[in-house]
Amino acid sequence: MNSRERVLCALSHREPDRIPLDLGSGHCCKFTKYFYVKLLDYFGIKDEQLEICSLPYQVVYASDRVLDLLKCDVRNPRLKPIKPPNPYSRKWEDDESYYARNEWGTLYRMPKQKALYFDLYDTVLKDSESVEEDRQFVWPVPETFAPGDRKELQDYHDAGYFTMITEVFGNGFLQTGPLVWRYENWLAMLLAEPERCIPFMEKLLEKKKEYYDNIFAVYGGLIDSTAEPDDFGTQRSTFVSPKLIREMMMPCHKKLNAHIKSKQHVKTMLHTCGSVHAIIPDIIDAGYDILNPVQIAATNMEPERLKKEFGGQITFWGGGINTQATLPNGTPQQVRDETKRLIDIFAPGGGFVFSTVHNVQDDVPIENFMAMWETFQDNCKY
Amino acid sequence: MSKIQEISAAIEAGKGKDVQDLIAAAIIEGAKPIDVLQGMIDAMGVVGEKFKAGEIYVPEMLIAARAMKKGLEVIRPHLVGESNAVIGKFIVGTVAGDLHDIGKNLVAMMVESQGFEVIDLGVDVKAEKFIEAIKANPDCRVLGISALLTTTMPAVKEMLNAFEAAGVRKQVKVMVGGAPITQGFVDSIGADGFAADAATAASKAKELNRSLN
Repeated sequence: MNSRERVLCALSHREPDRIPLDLGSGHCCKFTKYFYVKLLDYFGIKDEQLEICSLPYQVVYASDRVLDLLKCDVRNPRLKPIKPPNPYSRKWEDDESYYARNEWGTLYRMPKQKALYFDLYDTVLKDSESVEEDRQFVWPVPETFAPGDRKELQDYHDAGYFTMITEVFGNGFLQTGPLVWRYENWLAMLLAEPERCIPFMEKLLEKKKEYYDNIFAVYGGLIDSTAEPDDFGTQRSTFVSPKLIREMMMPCHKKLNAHIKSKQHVKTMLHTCGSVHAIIPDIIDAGYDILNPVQIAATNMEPERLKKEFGGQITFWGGGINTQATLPNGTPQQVRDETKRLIDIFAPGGGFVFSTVHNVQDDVPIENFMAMWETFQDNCKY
Repeated sequence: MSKIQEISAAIEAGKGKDVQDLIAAAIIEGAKPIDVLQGMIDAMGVVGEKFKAGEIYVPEMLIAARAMKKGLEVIRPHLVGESNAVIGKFIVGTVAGDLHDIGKNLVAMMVESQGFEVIDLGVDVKAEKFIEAIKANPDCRVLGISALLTTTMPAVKEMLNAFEAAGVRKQVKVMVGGAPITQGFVDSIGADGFAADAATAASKAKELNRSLN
């Protein structure tokens, strides 16, 4: 059984030869740069250049050499976008910080000292109070891709890896608005001024479709899965009511899934952090095959409950170790115990791809990461 | 429905303009400003309880807090000289290295809506800045620190050590919040309070404020 067959078997809710493993590749299953340096040190690799995959999160593309050492089944290729002209995109620095403004006009800042990420700092329409003022916003144009740029994906395909595209246009239907208006404004607008939000989400849907069309035009036939992000959960509930998610965001997700699946034979993942138990039926109904990151420490996200209620209908991709507590701050023995316990819960009957709950951050001790990996290796066979 | 009840209902519904108009009308009709303020604070208390109980979500709480803020703009000038109008001061900021402010902003709004004067130091706040604010506000008894990241949690402990070294630690009760923060963490670093959400933070701030009175 090769990696693709293994993952596809798990996604069809059957038990493969072993649990598929994704570390370092899938959406939010990646490594931050300083953690990756620890991993390179651990393996004695000295000649690798770090390649940043996502600027805000400071995660890297892990090399095939590292991913093979970790026996990972998944690969995310480096797509080569052709950037259309954009009035906002810019990078600069001052004495204290680095700044980057993206094509949505969202300004990110990373202090030069003691900082690990670029965080949202400013947005274009934060002071806008009307539809008329909103019209100042210049929509980004979905990127196209270098024609014929198929070699990397073809190689992964031929080698039998499962491939996941982790590039996305903007963020999700709930989470792109904050990049333009700021969080507080967007969340208030959803209730008080839906007439400003709905056309934005509808336009986002059309642009996302165009973006996937552009990807499939170049890489079609070589992609096994796509991943859309839309963080619906906080630590204790959904950000907005399940009713609002059902009425405003899920119809867009459903239409996007239908479009993607009408164009390519792929599996689709929704990355949605936090306590999302209340809307998992809606995520399934929207056509998603995979749920990530399965934040087991959030309210109502107990692994036994998730597996029992939804294990036959959606694949849990993540949920392998709590990255908010155990992985960075536990002892190696606590990491081993939790990894084993979660495998025992999630693995039976397939529908599980082992990964950490979110990217592995810089503060994770290498001993803990390897304790998790070794426990996985000892317990991954069906 | 009395005018004050109408104001409360408008706050809960997040109707900022209505809140302002109703307050102006209530004052003209002779309502005592301090009673109006208390009605507004009680309304936000209800909003907080509903949020804690999972009956409403962040946007509902947010628009109510914004309506409260609009209302405060109108009522404050009428409260000059009222000794009960402000129950205390609350200094808040995200810990050095952490720029995530959604939670901190919600906490600031909810705490303000419970009658505090909020001194919001913003994001990525260094210990010196907190210490400066504590010294400049000797009547402030409660301080909130927010950390969203596991990687910035250690900086909260360093912050407390810096308060100790500067001799201001005993002046304020320190509460800590943010996604990865737990009661266990707060206890382990010797802080005074934990709140899992903005509504609980507002109740906690009142409780800690009372404890030092």
